[in-house]
This record gives sequence, C-alpha cells and structure tokens, in this order.
Amino acid sequence: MTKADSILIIEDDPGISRMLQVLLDSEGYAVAVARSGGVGLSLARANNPDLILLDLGLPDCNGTDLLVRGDVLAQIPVIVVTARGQEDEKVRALDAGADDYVVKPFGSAELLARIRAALRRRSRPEERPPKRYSWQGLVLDCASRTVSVDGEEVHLTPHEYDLLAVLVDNRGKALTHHAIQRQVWGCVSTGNFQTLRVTMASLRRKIKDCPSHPRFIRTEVGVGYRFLGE
Amino acid sequence: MDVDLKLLGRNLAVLAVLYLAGMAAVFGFSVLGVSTLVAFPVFVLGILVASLESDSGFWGALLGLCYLLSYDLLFTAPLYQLKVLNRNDVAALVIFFLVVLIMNTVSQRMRRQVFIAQRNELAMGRLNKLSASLIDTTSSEAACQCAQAFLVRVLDRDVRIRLGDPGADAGQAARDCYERNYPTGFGEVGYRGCAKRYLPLGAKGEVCGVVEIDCAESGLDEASSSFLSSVLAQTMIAIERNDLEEEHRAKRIKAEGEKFKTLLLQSVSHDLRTPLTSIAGNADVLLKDARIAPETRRELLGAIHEDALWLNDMVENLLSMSRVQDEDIALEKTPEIVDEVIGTAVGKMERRRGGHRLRVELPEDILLVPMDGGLVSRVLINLIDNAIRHSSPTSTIDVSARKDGPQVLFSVADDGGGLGPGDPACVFSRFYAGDRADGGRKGMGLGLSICKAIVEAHGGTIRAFNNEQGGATFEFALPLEGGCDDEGG
Amino acid sequence: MSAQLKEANRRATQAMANAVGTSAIIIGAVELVPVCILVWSPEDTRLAPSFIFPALFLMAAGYVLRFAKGDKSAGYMLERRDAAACMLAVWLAAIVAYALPFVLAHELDPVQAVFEATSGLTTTGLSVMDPDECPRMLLLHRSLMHYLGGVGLVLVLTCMVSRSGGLGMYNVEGHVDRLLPGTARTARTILAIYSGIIALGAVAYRILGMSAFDAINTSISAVSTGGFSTHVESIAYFDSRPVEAVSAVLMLAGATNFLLLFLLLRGKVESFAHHIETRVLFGVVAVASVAIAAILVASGCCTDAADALWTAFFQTVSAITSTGFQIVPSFAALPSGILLVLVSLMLAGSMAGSTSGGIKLYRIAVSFSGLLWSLQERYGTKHRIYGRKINRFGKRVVCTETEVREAATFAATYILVFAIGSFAFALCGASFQEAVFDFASCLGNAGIGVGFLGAGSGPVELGIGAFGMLLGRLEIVMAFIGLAALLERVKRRVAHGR
Repeated sequence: MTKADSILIIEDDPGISRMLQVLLDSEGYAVAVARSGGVGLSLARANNPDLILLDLGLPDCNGTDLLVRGDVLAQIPVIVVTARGQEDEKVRALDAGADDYVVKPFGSAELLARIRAALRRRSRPEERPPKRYSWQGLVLDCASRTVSVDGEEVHLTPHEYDLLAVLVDNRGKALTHHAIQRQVWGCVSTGNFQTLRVTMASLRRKIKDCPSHPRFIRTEVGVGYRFLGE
Repeated sequence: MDVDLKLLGRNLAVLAVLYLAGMAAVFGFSVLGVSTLVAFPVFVLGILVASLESDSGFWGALLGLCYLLSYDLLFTAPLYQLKVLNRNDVAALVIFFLVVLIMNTVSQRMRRQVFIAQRNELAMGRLNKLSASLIDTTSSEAACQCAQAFLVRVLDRDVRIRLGDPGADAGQAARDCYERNYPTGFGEVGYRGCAKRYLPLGAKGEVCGVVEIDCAESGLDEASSSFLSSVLAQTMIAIERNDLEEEHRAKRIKAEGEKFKTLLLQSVSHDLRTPLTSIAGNADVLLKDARIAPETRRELLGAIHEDALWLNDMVENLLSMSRVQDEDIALEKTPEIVDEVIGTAVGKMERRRGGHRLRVELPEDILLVPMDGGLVSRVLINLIDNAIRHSSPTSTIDVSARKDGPQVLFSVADDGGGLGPGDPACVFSRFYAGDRADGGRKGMGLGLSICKAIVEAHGGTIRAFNNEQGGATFEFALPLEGGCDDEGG
Repeated sequence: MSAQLKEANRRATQAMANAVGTSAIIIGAVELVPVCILVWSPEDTRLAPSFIFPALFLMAAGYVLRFAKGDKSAGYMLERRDAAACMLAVWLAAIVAYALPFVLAHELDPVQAVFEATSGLTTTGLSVMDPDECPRMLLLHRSLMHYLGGVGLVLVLTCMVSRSGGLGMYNVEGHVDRLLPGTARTARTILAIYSGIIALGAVAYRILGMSAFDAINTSISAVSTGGFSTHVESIAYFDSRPVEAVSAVLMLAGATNFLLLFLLLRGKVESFAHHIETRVLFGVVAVASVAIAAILVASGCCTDAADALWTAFFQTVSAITSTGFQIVPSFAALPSGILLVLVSLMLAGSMAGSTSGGIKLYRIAVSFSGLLWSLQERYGTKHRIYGRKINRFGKRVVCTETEVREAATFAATYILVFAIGSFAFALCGASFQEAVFDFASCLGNAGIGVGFLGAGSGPVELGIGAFGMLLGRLEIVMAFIGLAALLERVKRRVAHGR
C-alpha cells in the first residue's frame, strides 16, 4: 500500500470506538471517527474514505437508512457492526448495499480479515468471471460448468452449480439469501428460502464441505452464506 | 296431552266408582226399607272422597249433581221424573249443598297445600343438587353452563345465561338490562311484544351478566320466579367464588414468577460478579504493574478474554431463556436444515473445545425440521459446552442427528465421566450445577434447563443417560411436522 | 331400635297398609257385581243389601287404610315376609267380606258362610249349600269368588295398580314365572288369557244348549278349576258328552301354567309339548284313567268299557286339576281303589302357575328326578356324568340341588299337613275313607267329596276344612310366614303403644 487506506468509523459508543481506533491504527490504517450518522455522512462525503465501519445502533438514525440515503456510500465498501440478534437488520443492511458485517463482540482477527477482504475487492478491477477458479482443492471450470474436488469430479445440478458460481464470484463477501436467490433463481420470494437451503445443503454434501468445519462455504447464521476463498 | 288423558281417565274412573257405590248404597237402603234420606250422608261421603281423589273441585260438584239427579229420578216419588221436593227434602238439599260446598273448598285447599308442600320439597331437593354441582365447577363459564342446563330442565323452557356485555346485537332489552341492572323484557312495563324476559345477573349492585328466559309460550309463575331467583343467587355465589379462585391462582403464579425472577437475579448478579471481579482484578494488575513478564501478561489478558467470553455466553443464555419464558411470543418455527444448525453450533464451539475431540455425524438425508434455528443452535451449544465442562478433559464428543420416525433425534455424547448419581432427569432442573471435571468455574446451572425449555417449547423431548462408552449422552427429539407456512421458492 | 330401622319399619307398614287397602277396595268393588243379576232376576232384590253393604264397607275400610300410607311408600318393595303378611291379610279380609252376604241373606250360619267363602275363594268347590235352592245372586257370587280366587286375588290388584308390591305378592302365593317384562303387563296378560278362555267356554256351552246363566257360571268354575255348579248334580245334570268334553278342555286349560298357555297362543307348540309338566300331566291322566276305568269295569260299577273310560277320564281330570266336577252319582259308592287313586291325584295337583291346587307336578317331577339322580350317583357307574337337566318351557335347564331340596321339602310338608288334617277329621268322627278323601279334597282344593263335609257338618270340621283349604291354596309355608309376620307387627304396635 502506498497510501494508507483510510477507514471511517461511525460508532456512537466511546468505548468501542476507542478500541477500534487503537486496533486499526496499530494495523496501519488511517482512522476517522464519527459519533453519529449525520456527521458520518458528511465526513464520508468530504473525505471519501476507503472503507466505512458503520454501527447499526446509531442514536440519530438507522444505519440501514444511511446506506440507502447516502449515495456516496454506494461507492465505498461498508462493513456494518451489529449486535447479536439483529438478524433482520443485518440482512437489510446487506441488501441495501453493505459489503459485509461483523457481530459484537467480534474478535479483532476476524474484523481485520474482513476489512482486508473488502479492500481487496475494492481494488480488484471488475473482471470478467475467470474461466477457471481453483482454491484448496476445489476447481471450478466455468466454460464446461464442471466442478471437481480434490481431483474427483463432482456432479452438480444446474442450480447447485449456479449457486456455487455466485458464491465464488462474490468470494469473501457475505451474501444474503435474498441476493443469492435472486441471482440463482431469478425470482424473489418472501418465504424462508427453503429451496435455497436445501440446494445449499445438497451442494455442500457433494463438495464435502462439512458445515461445522467449513472449507469453502460458511453459513452466516440468519443472513446468508459466504465463500471462504480468496 | 297424554298426561291429561290419563288424569282425565283417572278422574272419570274415580267418579264412576263413587257414583256406582253411592247408588248401590241408596238402592240397598231402599231395599232394606231404611229411609232414603240416609242417602244424603252417603252422598256427602262420596263427594268428600271424590274431591280428595280428583284434582279439582269440579269433579266433586259433578258427582254431587249426578247423585242428586239420580236420586230424584230413581228414588223419589214419582219415580223416573224430576220433581220439586217437599219441605223436608228441600231443607236436606240446602244443607247438603252447603256441606258439599264447604267440603269441596276445604279438601281442595288441603290438596293444594299438599301439592305446594311437595313442590317446595322438590324445589329444595333440586336446589341442593344444583348447589352440589355448582361447587364442582372451576370457572365462571362452567358455573353459568351448569345453572343454565339446570334451569332449562326444571323450567322446561329455553334459558340462556351470558356473562359480560351482551353486545350490540343482543337486542335493546338485553342491553338495557345489563346497563341498568333491572329486569326487562316480557312482563315489564315498556317492553310490549318482547318474547323474552331478561334478568340481570349480579351481586352488590354490580351486573356481570344477563339471563335470558324464553316466555314465548307462557310467562313465569310466582313459584318459578322465586325458584329462579334462588338459582341465580347460587350461581352468582359460584361465579364469585370461581373468580376469586382464578384471581388467587393468577396471583400465585405471578408470585412464583416473581420468586423465580428474584432467584434468577440473585444468581445472575452473583455469577456476573465473579468473572467481572476477575476481569477487574486482572486488568488492575496489568495497569499497575509495568514489570510483568510477557508470558504472565499474555496469561492475564487471556484470562480477561476468557471471562469476557464467558460473560457473553451467560448473557446469551439469559436472553434465550427470557425468550422462551415469555409466553406472549409464540415460537416462530421455520424449516431449518439439520446440517446447518449442527454446523453453526459446532462451528462456534470449535474454538473452545480444548483437548476434546469434536466429531459430527450428519443424517443421511437432508432433513428440514421446523424450529427456531437460533434457539436449537443454542441447545446444541449448551449441550456441547456441558460435555466439555463435565467430561474428562480429553474425551471425544459426538454430535449427531438422525431421523427416527416422525421426529429427528439430536444427540451429544461424550465418553468421559458420565452423569452423577441420582435421577438423570434432575440435571435439567434449574440451578442444578454439577461439578466440573476440569476443576474450572461452576456454571450457573441454567444451561441444561434452558435446553429443556427450548426443546419442550418446540414440542419435543429431551433426556439424559449414561452411555456404553462410559460417558453421558444427551438426546433430544424434535417433531418433523410442526407446521409453519412455507413459501420458499 | 335405631332410628333408621324404625323408619324402614314404618315405611314397610305403610306400604303394606297401602297394598292391603287398595286390594280391599277392588275386592269390595267386585263384590258389588252380583247385584247386576237383578236385571234378570228381580226376585232376588231383597238380597241386594247383603252384598252392597259388606262391599261398600270393605271399600271404605280399604280406602281408610290407604290413608295410612305415607308419601314415600309408593314403589317400596316389600320383603318376602311382609308380602306374605299382606297377602294373608287380604285373603282373610276377602273371606270375611265374601262370607257376609251368605250370613246377611240368612242362607248360612257364620261358620258355614266362612267355609263356603273359603271354598269359593280357594277354588276348592266343596259346598254346604244346595245350588238348586240358592238364589241366583248367591250362585253368581260363588262363581265370582272362583274367578277372583283363580288367578289370585292379588293379581287382580296388580292389574289395576301398576306399582310394585303387586306381583311380589303374587309370587308369594306360589304362582311362579313372569310372562312378559313388566309386572303390570304380565298381570294384564294373565287376566286377559284367563278371561278369554272363560268367555270362549261360556260361548261353547251356550251353543251346546246351556242357559246363559249356567254357561257363564260353569265356564268360570271350570277354568278357575273351582267346582261350584249351578246344579246339585254338578255336570251330570246336563247329561251331555259334548258338555263334559268342553268341561274337560276348560279344566285342563285352567290347570295349565299361564306361561305355557301364552306360549301356545304364540304358536310355540313345541315348548308346550316338551315342558316337563305337560308330559307328566298327560301321562298321569292317561295312566290314571285307564286304571280307574279298569277298576270300574272290574268292580262292576260300569258295564260299558267306553263309558267307564270316559267317566274315568273325566273324573281323573276333575281330580288332578282340582276342579271338582262330578259325573258319577256319588263318590262314596266307588271302590276304595278308585278313591285312593283320586286322593293321589288330588294331592299331586297339576301344573305350577295355574289355578289348580296340590303339590304341583313340577315339584313332583323335580323330586322324583332328584331321587333318580341321587340313586344314579350312588349306585351308577362312577365314570359317567349324569345330566341333571329338566325341560322347562321348551328349554332344558339345569336343575340345582337347591331346587330339588325345596321341592322335596314342600312335598314332605304337604304330606305331613295332610296326615295331621286327616287325623283331625278322624277325631271329628269321620271314617278313615272319609277323613282321608275329604281332607285331601280340602288341602288340594279339589272339591270332590265323599260326603263327610256338607250341609250337615258341624263348625269344627268345617273350620278344619276351611283351614286346610286356605293352607293348600297359600302353599302352607307362606301362610305360616304371613301369619307370623302379621302377628309380629301387631305385637310391635301394641308394645309401642304402651
């Protein structure tokens, strides 16, 4: 990194804010802090940070609204910080355009990893989907739409393949059920995504990805799924 | 009609017998040559018996008339002709009539009194029976039902007892009755044409319901009215009693709830303090002493981290428990994939397994079970945590699930230690905290009881037993059916 | 005595009073019926009061007795003893009431009147009167007594009053079995069958040429197996085989168990035929007829064999059914062999649950079977199981030890009373033949006599005879139990009063 990546923290709790500052600072990021949504928005517009850490429990406005309203935020990757139990908030935030999320209390390693992944995604140019993707034994051949794991070919149904492809395309990023459903099946339903989950479970079994020790796909409880590769 | 015919038949039969007997007596007297004026006392006797045995004075009078006519026809000269009698006969006739009249009246009154007495006795008997059955009722509605059925049977007409406001569609009369606490409807001024009578049901000036009596065929007579009042008074007593009982019950439950909350708060505050004290202490040490060796520093920081996680866990458990305790919110069940639920739980516990081996065995098919994923996940987490804490430090912990008929059986089994002595079911009781195998901090004892509460809220069952590997197995079942609407894709 | 016991006692007494009272009213009412005859024979008008006043008095007394009933005694089931007491009271009241007309009409002295009334009500048929001299009203009265006594005084009560207590008493009298569910229905059916047969008989007689009065009275007498006749020669007066034949049929009908008649009317001929008493009855009648006929011929009383057989048959039927109709000029003139056979027949009686008297064939059959079975057990092959079944109403039912014992006991008691009674007659001056025959006739309610009891008899033998008749009719044991219970109640009342 030539220039230090700047991160804007929009968080009202001083304790957490302080902790984040210290953490990010020690990693070499340039940190700015806003205590409320309004201030945060202005700062974002003014300084154009590389990443925004947005707390959903802000006093003056709903974090999600901020995402929706703030057009400038559309360009900047946002990681939302939520408290446990606010699943719908998370989902809404992600659907509204947030990139990723962490749940309080979070481990510092996890946060840093997510920040890194988000920044990487940002710097990565929009590329056409690669012809072939491989990571840790999983090989995806986009042309022939075949998949193999540890050398063995795996037979997937079209939906399963599409699902995997979507995840791989958005690797590192948390995808909501809604988003996946829309991209894979095209239609959006307001149900509980049973078909998607069954498909996911079936896919996992086929690529030998145990949900408890995930190699490739991680379940984001209440939110969606995330592909773990780089 | 049947009864009337029978009654009529009986009256006629009695009359016929008495008539024949009377006539035979007079005939006998005439044959014997005794003066036929003796007939009159005989007639009087016959009429007395008639008015006692028949049900109205009419028959006695009729018999008297028949006697007189026959007597005049058959036994006075000129025979077979009605004729005005001479002075003796007239006097006898007059006295005869007077006697008949008085006797009729007296005997009728006596019959009436006997009848009333019997009816009162019957009414008392019935009221007693009603009392007995009202005592057995357990709610106000039941008491009303009981009284209603009873009244319908006894009064032989349609009766309805409704608690509470009759509502807009019950008719003006009913509403008036409820609002103003006086009888309305049939028989009351201002309610012409109303076929039903409404009585307020209440005590001490307060109305709690309306009694509707069908008077389409006939109004209530006085005896029935007073009987009705007695019944309603008893019903009111029963209702009040039931209400008081319910109140008492509710208070008792609330008190129990309060007790539990107090207990919980005490336990929580105690258990919160311990790790907090540790955190504060450790942090304090770190702050104060700049010369601490890096290893010690790491250790202390690690301890602080552990304690923080521990506190977090406890908060999670408490939150789950409050969710399950809160009866107002129904459990929202959505079909979750068993693999995922297990995966989530195991994933979270992976970090804390220490020296234990954590193995997962998934069901053969992809199973969708209606459940609250977060809560069931918590159950598994608690069970695994329990296994980590109470089995030997290097035990293997197996988490598995399989389909078993109409339900899915989840199981967390370890092979070290096993359950303590005593009833295995006890482990699920609140605040039961067993000894840890690794000598670590004792839990609050809520974990397993939360598991039980969550599983049972799902309509499932949970049990614990010692397994063949020498450890303990915790097994819970969730029903596969269980309804949730599914619109997923 | 505890309060509860006293209360129960009181209720029992009340119920009894109620039952007796109601019976009295009905009996009184029936006593009025003979007065109707005035329409056809106005010459008997002077007798009317002798019927009317006892009847009315009985009715009044009954009515007053009913007042003793409390409110709750309706439906109270009487114990056996109390029922027996009631029944005895009713019988005694009836006898007294029905004897009164005879006395009041100056036809008989009191003892004779009681004898006559007892004879009528128990359907015996022995008379101290000369029917030819008797006013029609009294003749009708006698027949009515037969009618009433035939089905049981109490049964008539049950017809009218459908509350319980009725048939309880009926069974006490010795009539067994129920026809139909429901006491009242059974009673009404029995009465209907009974009256129906009488009506048919009267019509048959009328067709055969008897006067209406004779027809009715004779029919009643035949079906109730009484024996009073409107003529002193009894059936011989009519001197007509058809009449005798009809009489025989009516007698047998009256001597058949009501239930069997019912089954027969329903078409169940097989049940009728297979019932043990039917077989025994017809068997005995056949054997006895032949035996008597043989003796008749052998002794020269009768020359024509057919005639002898017919006479034998008729008299056998008359004796065994305990009716008492007579076609021989005199029994005293018959050889003693015949008399002995007749005595046996009279004592044996006919079917249980009919109007006839005697030990009853059912008991005899059971006793003999019991004897046979115990002999078999004792001396028969050890390894065979002997069935102890007897055919009742077409069904083979098991005969228990108790039944056998009861039947045998009754038979033994009967014979004992017979012996004592005959002895009593002998003490009164009767010859051996007379004592045995006439007491058998009384005890078995038969009605054929060799002449010891008659218009000229003294009060003692009439009294013994009446007592015997009553015992026989009430099946001895019940009479004594009833008496005991009645006395006990009276004693208790008196003790209380003090």
